[in-house]
Amino acid sequence: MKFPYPALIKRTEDNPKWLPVATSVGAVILAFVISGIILAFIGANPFKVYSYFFKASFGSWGAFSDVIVKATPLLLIGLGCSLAFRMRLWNIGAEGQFFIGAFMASLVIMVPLVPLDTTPRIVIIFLMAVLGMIGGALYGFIPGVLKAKLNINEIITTLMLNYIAVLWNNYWVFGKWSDAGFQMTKTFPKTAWLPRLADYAKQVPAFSGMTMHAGILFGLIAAIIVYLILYRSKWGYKITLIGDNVRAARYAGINITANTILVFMVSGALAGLAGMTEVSGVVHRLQERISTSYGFSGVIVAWLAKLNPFATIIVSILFGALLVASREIQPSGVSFLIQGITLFLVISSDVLLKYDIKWVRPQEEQAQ
Amino acid sequence: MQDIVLRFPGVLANDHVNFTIYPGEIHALLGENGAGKSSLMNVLTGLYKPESGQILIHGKKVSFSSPKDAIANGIGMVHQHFMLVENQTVTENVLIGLDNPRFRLNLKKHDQEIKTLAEQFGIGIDPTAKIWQLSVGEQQRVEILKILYRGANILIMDEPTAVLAPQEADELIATLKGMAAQGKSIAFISHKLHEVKQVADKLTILRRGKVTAERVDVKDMTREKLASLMVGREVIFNLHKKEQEPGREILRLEDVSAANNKNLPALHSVCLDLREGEILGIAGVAGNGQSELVEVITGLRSCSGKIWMEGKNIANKPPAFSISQGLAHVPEDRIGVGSAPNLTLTSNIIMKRYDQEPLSHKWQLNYLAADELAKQLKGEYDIQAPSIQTQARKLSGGNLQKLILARELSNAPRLIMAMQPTRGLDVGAIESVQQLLLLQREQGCGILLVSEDLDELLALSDRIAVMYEGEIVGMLQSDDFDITKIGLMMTGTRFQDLPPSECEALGNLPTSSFDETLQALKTYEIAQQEAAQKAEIELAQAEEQALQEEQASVEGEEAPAAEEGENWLPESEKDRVLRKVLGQKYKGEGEE
Repeated sequence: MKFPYPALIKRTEDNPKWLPVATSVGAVILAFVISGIILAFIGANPFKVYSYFFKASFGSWGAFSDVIVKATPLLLIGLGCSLAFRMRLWNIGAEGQFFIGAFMASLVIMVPLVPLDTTPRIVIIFLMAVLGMIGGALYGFIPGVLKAKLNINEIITTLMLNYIAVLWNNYWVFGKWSDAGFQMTKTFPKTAWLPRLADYAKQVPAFSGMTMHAGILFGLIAAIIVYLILYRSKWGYKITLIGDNVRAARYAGINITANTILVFMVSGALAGLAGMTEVSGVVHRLQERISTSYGFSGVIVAWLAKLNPFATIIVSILFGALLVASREIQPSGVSFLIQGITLFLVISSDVLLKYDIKWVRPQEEQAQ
Repeated sequence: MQDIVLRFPGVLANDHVNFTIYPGEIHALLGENGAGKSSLMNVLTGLYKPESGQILIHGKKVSFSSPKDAIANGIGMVHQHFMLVENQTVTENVLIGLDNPRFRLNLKKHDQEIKTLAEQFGIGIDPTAKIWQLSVGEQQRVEILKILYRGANILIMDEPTAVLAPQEADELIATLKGMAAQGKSIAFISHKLHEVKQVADKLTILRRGKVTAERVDVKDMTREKLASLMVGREVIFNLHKKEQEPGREILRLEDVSAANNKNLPALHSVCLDLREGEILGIAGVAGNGQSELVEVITGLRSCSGKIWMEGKNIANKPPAFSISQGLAHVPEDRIGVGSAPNLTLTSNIIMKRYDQEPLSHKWQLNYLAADELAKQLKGEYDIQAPSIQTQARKLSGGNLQKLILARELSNAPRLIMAMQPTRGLDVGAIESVQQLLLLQREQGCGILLVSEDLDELLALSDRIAVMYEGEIVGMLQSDDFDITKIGLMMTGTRFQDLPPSECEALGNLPTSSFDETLQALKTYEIAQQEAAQKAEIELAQAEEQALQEEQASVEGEEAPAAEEGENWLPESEKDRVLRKVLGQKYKGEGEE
């Protein structure tokens, strides 16, 4: 008995505009279904889990504000990755760039670079943001130069540099800057804190307890800038051209070396800025664990958003919600499970954009 | 093979081709690149299915749907690029893909088997050696063994000497002759005339998918005849090339040398000049430095020497510099270099001028203006595509080339590098591309036209330079175009060694060229191995004698007309050629 089996038929005509969106959404839904089956296997009621998920993330304004807090670094890192991925530079070193950004931002306070009690808040925060970006950019510069000049695989270098950054950070928080032996620095002065909604609870009582901070504004501005770069600028055109065909770009007179380094630095700068918002907006100190692997989730966010800056905003909020929910349910690994399955499905769903699936009966094939 | 017809989109690769081979015969398949040699052989090995025609083996009709079927019928092919696993031994590579041994591998037993097989055909190889330890020539022997082990009686060699050093090539030829003597049939694909004369018994020549000579005896053919059968002499189109005096010099290359991607020398002290309103054709078999020549001029490859474009040295400047000076480049590889396949028509059109007003303003790119330009050029150059948002990869070959030409020619170029601009296009597209180039010539552009299509070069060029192994071996003026001369130079004869054009006695030509002399020495080396004592004595004498005498003796062995040949060589030139030959000879011995 021969059963029909699916075969992939290469598609030649253009995809309708809705198809990529549909496959992404479909992938997310399917990820929830598959995770649900796994949850059911381990004895939980998936519907209950998901409804709890939803309540924990979007159930109240307070919860939503927490989601935004988690979404902020994801958004910034996702944008940086989008830029690099457009050029087919596989920067998976956002985690390391994030840590170096956080470290550089902390320098402003810990050295200190400016007199902390007299300098106005806005100057301190501005300095921290700039240094955070410089830190991330420098840390992106290393794999960028190695890639551009020596053609060393950037996946390996960025991945390895992540560990170096984390350990570098540990050196300072465990040693030099350790606050009374704990693996963290002393709390930064209030003038180094990004303003939070809770700060305005006196004026607007509803804001009380809300941790959402001004970092999300950085993220939204960055999304607009990245959009302008990618879709409106000469530089974005060059990035897209290099990404599609390096040899054609070189033939068109584009400097591949310079652009590789530059894109890596901008990508790193955005991750570095994410590190700054985390120390200045959330933990208010430099400490051992400032990232729940934002650097890697950012890769997923960028990919799920199909490297579109505005889609990145939506996806990072979705992933922020997953992170918040993971605090609420045990085991917390469930949300990472969903993340992983989602990425897997999104990447595989790209097949549907290039091929049609056709059921073939074995006899038919022989006839062909 | 009878009446084989094979068609690719827009190209008729094989047009009712017949090809017959007998046991124990080395049959050369000769033709230019793209003549359909490889396609025909791929039909024979089951990679392509012909549209019509049939394959008969020992009079029995067969039909192959995969290389596996072909090998089951005793037909195997050694490709130019080897398919070997670097980290495994010779034996393991030979056994790859076979059903036997099924599970347990007794390597020692198979080592012995392969050793015996190799010895039978005089192939020297150590079956336990790992592939990465072997030279290219030895790797090729592994490929041959692979086919022999599978019981092939017909071996197809796809330009086997292209990857080999001269000594290795000689060994290969000896091996092939040995195999033929044991009854194997060998189809030998080549475009090198001297090699074919040396190795083959019979030959078939293909030109543009058609047979121009079927199963002729190699002995009866002269190189001149072969060359003209191979490159042909028909002018298909009526192009209106205006008579015009070229203007001032626009490009000059002084002593330009460069290496190829493998870091081997690809260009040797090339000197060229090109003037406004002139088309300089570059003839040559592919891979003799033409690509590198264009790449150094366009700044895509570094080089030594000087390249002057309108008084500025553009050698080793980034590509952007020469583009800004008005250098247009129609690349050979339209998909890999000339376009961004997944981007739109618009993005591809603006590739070289996205930096100019009104397409861009400060940091911004004006996509509206870009679309406007794309629309305009799409109409002007008649690019057939659904819209300007269509991805470049969806265009047909001819339309993609029109897109590239639209981009390169619409930006008022001063100098155009056109590399194989009509290759693979259908007749209509070829004509419009050629018209476009002639139009640019009338407008005073300097054009460097690299083509393997000699008819095209003859029809379009004002002068033709011939490249061979990275050197310009000759330059012909338009009143002196002679396809036989070009053919000879393309296969390695220097301009100064060419027979004078008064000598019309084709078929009775002396063989005094450097190439022939070298060949004579090579033949001698093989002869030595096969104990051809006569030649040995002659050369032994020659080595003791003075230079002149030696040449006489070597040529005496090769052809009776040597004395006539000597007269054509200026004294100093003869010495130079001989010294070079002897130098190589001695160098070769030193290495051994």
